[in-house]
This record gives sequence, C-alpha cells and structure tokens, in this order.
Amino acid sequence: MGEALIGPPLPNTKRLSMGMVDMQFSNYLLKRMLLLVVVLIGASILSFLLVRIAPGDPARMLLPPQASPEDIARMRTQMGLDRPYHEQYLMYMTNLIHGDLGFSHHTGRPVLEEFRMRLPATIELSVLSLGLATVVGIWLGVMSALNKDKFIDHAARVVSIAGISAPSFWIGLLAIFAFYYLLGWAPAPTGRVDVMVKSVQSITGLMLVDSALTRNWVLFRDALSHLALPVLVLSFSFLAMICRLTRAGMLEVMEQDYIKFAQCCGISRSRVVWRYALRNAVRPVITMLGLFVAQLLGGVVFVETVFNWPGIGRYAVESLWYLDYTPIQGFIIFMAIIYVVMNLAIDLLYMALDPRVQY
Amino acid sequence: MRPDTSRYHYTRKVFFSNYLSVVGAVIVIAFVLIGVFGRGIVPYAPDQMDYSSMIAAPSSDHIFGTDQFGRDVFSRVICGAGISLGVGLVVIGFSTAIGMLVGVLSGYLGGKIDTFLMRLVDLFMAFPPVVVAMVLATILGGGIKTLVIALSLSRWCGTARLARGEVLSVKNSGFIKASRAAGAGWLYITWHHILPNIISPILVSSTLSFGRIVLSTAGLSFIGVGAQPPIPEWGTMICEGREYIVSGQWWLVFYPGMAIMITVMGLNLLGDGLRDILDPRQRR
Repeated sequence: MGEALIGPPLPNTKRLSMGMVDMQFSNYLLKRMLLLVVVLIGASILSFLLVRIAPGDPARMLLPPQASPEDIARMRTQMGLDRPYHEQYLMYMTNLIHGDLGFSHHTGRPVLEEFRMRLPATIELSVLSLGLATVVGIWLGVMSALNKDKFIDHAARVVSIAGISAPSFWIGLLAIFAFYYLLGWAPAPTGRVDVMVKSVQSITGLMLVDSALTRNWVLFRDALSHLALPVLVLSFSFLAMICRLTRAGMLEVMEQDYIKFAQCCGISRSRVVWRYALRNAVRPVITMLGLFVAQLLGGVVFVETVFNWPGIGRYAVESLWYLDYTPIQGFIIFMAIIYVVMNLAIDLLYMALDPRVQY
Repeated sequence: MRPDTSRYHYTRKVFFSNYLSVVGAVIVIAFVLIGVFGRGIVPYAPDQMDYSSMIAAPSSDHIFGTDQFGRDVFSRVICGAGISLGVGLVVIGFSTAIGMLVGVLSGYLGGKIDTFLMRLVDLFMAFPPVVVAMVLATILGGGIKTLVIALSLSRWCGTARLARGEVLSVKNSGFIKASRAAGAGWLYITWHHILPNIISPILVSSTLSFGRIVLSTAGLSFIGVGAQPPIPEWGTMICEGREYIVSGQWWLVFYPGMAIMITVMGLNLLGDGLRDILDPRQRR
C-alpha cells in the first residue's frame, strides 16, 4: 500500500469554542471551493495542452481524406487553430463553461451527449461495486479481527492478498470463463441487457431503477444478471483493501480501555463490536475511501472493456483507439470533478462520524 | 564503521519471524532471476510460430499450451518477466528521482516554491495514475518506451509528498542546525544529512509501488496503449487471448495472469516485510 503513507492530511482536532465553529466551517467550505476551482482550471489546462501536444492535426481529422490543403486551412481558421495559444485557451474555456465539450468524431455526436448516454451505466456499475465492497469488506475485516489466527482470518487474508495482487481484467476474463462458458450461469459479456429482452423508456438511465419503476421484472432480472459479474469483479480489489484496513483498525481498537470497560459493564458483545468499536475502527477506511474512488474510476476502464459495458470508461478507451481526443478532454475534466466532490463528501462524512473533527 | 550487530540481529529476527515476507522475498528473487536469465532457458523462442499446433491445450510438448500462432505460451510467459522487471526498475528509478527532487526542494526551501509544487502535486493526484498514464501513453504514441515515460510521469507525486513530509520532520533537528552552524552549504546538508534520513520510507514505498507498476504495465498493454504485439508482455498476451476465453481456450489468458498475480503478490509481501524493518512506525 504505497499510497497508504500519503493520504489526506490529518484533520485538525483542536478544540474550539462553539461560536467559532460555524465560522471555521464556512472558512473550510470556502477553501474547498477554491480548491475545486484550482483543480478544474488545472484540469482544463492539461486537457487543452493534450490536444496541442498530440500528433496529428485536429482539423485534418474532422475532414474527409480527400480534402484539399485549402479546405484544411479554412477549417483551421474556422476552429481558431491559427490564433495564439492563450486566445485558443480562452475560447476553449468559454465553450467549457457553456457546457460545450466538443464533438466526438468517431461516434459523430457531441461529447456531452455521449457522456449523458453512458454515465448511468458507469454510475450503476461503480456505486453497486463500492457499496458491495464496503459492506462485505468491513464485515470480513471485523470477522477476521475477532477471530484472529482462526480459519476465517486466514481465508480473508488469502482473499485480500489475491485481490490486491491480481489484475481486475484478468479476474474478469476468468469469471467469464467460469460462469459463462463452464457453468452457464452468467449471460454473455455483451453489455447491460440481452438484445432479446425488450428495453423500456429511459427514466433515470439506471436499468435496475427504470425496470423496477415500470414493474418490468423480466428486464430487471436480466439487467441484474448482466450486472452481477462486472460488479463482483470491480469490487474485488476494493473489498480486499477495505478488509485489510478494517482488520488492522479493529485489532487496535479492541485493545482499548473503553472497549474493555464496556465489556465489563455487561453490554452485549455484538453491541460493543458493531456500535462502539467499529465506529472508531472504520475511520482509516473512510480516509482512504477518497483514494478508492479515484482507483475505482481507473478500474472501471478495465472492467468495462472486458465486459463490453457501454459506460464512460470504455468510451474513453475507444476514443484512444480512434485517436479521438475531444472525449478524452471531457474525461479528464470529469475525473477531476468527481475527485474533488468525493473528497468533499468524505470530509463531511468524517465530521458526521466523529464529533471531535472540526475544520 | 563498526557493524551494528544488535540491530542486524533484530532486523533478521523481524524479517524471518514473518514467514510471508520470506515467501515474498523468494518470489521476488525468482522473478529477478527469471527476468534476467529467462530468455536463455526457455524451450522455444518466444516468437517462434508453428502453424501445425495452433491454440493447442497444455500437453507434455507445450506445458502451458500454444497460442493462436502456435507460439509456446510457457516460453512467452517466462520472457515476459524480463519486460516487467525492466519496465518496473526504470519507472521506479525515474519516478523516485523526480518525486524526491520535488519533495526535497519543496520541504527544504519552503515558502512559495513549496506552495506551488504542492498544488502541482494536488493537481496530478486528482486523477487516477492509470488514467494519466493511459492518456500520456496514447499521446506519445504507444510502445514500451512511451509506456515507461507515461508511468514515470504518473507516479512521482506520491513519492514527492512522502519525501516532503520526511524532510520537514528532520529539517529542524539539532544535527542539521549544528551542521549549518559549522558552515555546511545546503547542498552538502541535503546530500549528507537529509537524504540518508529520509531514504528508508521512500525505499519501502517504492518496493510497494513496484507491484502497482507491474499491474499498470499489464493493464495499459491490455487496453492496447502499452507494449504492442508480438512483444511477449503479460498484459499484451492476455489481450491477444481475450477473444478465445468465451470459446473455452483458457490457457492463453490464465498463465500470463497467474504470472502477474504471483509477481505482484511477492512484491507486496516483500514490501510489507521491509516496512516492518525499515519503518517501524508504520508497523501493524
């Protein structure tokens, strides 16, 4: 866990008088908003530079192969490519603020529209994976800490070492082999639903929610069966990391005096474990959750590629194959937004769980 | 310098008392040996095609089977170790060098330079390393060389932050002040006093990130922006074998992936063991 040594800075736990807390908090929010702006400007500069560094003329790529040099020159003027860089950047930023992410030439649609179409598939996949990984990972971590050096502890450790060490795309392919080819339990890895199952009008874009809302249980089951393998595969490595962190935290907390005191008071074991100990043991997990989300978005790229999942990650990979850089620019900015928003959410969660933490 | 026997015995005890780190060390030694000498010991050349036995299941002739061009999967997996080892070492070297330079400058000089460099690190850390590497590798145009550059550029921030923190914690120690009072320049102090004191946590985190680099190399090659066929890179092999998995030819994908998993596992276990010795504060 190289990144475990870095993490976000430790929260400031200084005691403050109650009157100052609100001001402190709004200061903190302001700082966060500033960071959001800085990261977004940075991301926009990066994504702007990307197309300028990349080989190939963007104007050339939009035109058919038989276009004459005059056509290309006209297109360059039209796209503003003949102007100085700072003017081009301002143009790019203006478009960005108006929600214009450019045009994806390999799909022939605006990038924003593509993102809107594909985002629900990615959200469905990653939210379910993160949820599954958190619940099962914490449960497994607690169980192996309580039964240290027993069978379940060793089993959990083997699972977590394997989960951290094996590449997700490989696990995905093996899962397809086992559950589709050998056992026939899972559907073919061809996307979100079977082509034979009639789809419904998109309401939220999330297949499970849409089919449940319209009471289309055939579709619901089909969507669920298509989701099962990708979700399991994507959650595997996060489950492993969460399990390791929870186990370590739990072992430490269970030795503390207040836990012993609670046990002496005759409070039931399950209450001591799940209410008193866990609340303190999961703190490192929450700290790392922000990092996990960033890694999850990296993992999404591979899992979506393996399962032909029509989400953002596969779209990014396809765009790379076609040397279509506008979607990549959008992808970079999207990543940056997710990162900043997630970190904010995690800080707030932190405060909710631990009243001593103040900003 | 007199060898510090008690420290040596302590180190040996800690390392060998944890049998998992010994397992890790054995795996890593095997990986390095195979990486260096692998090409000399394989039964077939990694790119030797044989159209009479394509996609043949594992047998006594080809213990890991053959791929779609009749190449021996075992030989290719063995040769893949050398590529992962080479890429990993170079990337670790470059990214640690960049990270330490940035971190030490930032921590030692402080002030505006520190603020600027750390905001830069924040910016880079806003993206998953794999995504940064993926984009960079594509722009620079595929292949092993660009893969190395892309991975190095995507991985220096962690080291930079770590190095900065370590520098800050030793910067105000008495011996640094004494050295400065004795007239030592900042370059001398950095090289002789700061670097030796911050090197072990950085070494640990580098070993631990070696595993991640092996994973990223394979991952980028798998999605087609890293090593290109016919190079026997593990991720490339999995990518090539991918379409055969739905028709049941598992060995094209299984063995290279197994090689990745065992190697990364070995590196992680060894890294955990090293951390216990070199960086006792992080012990769990």
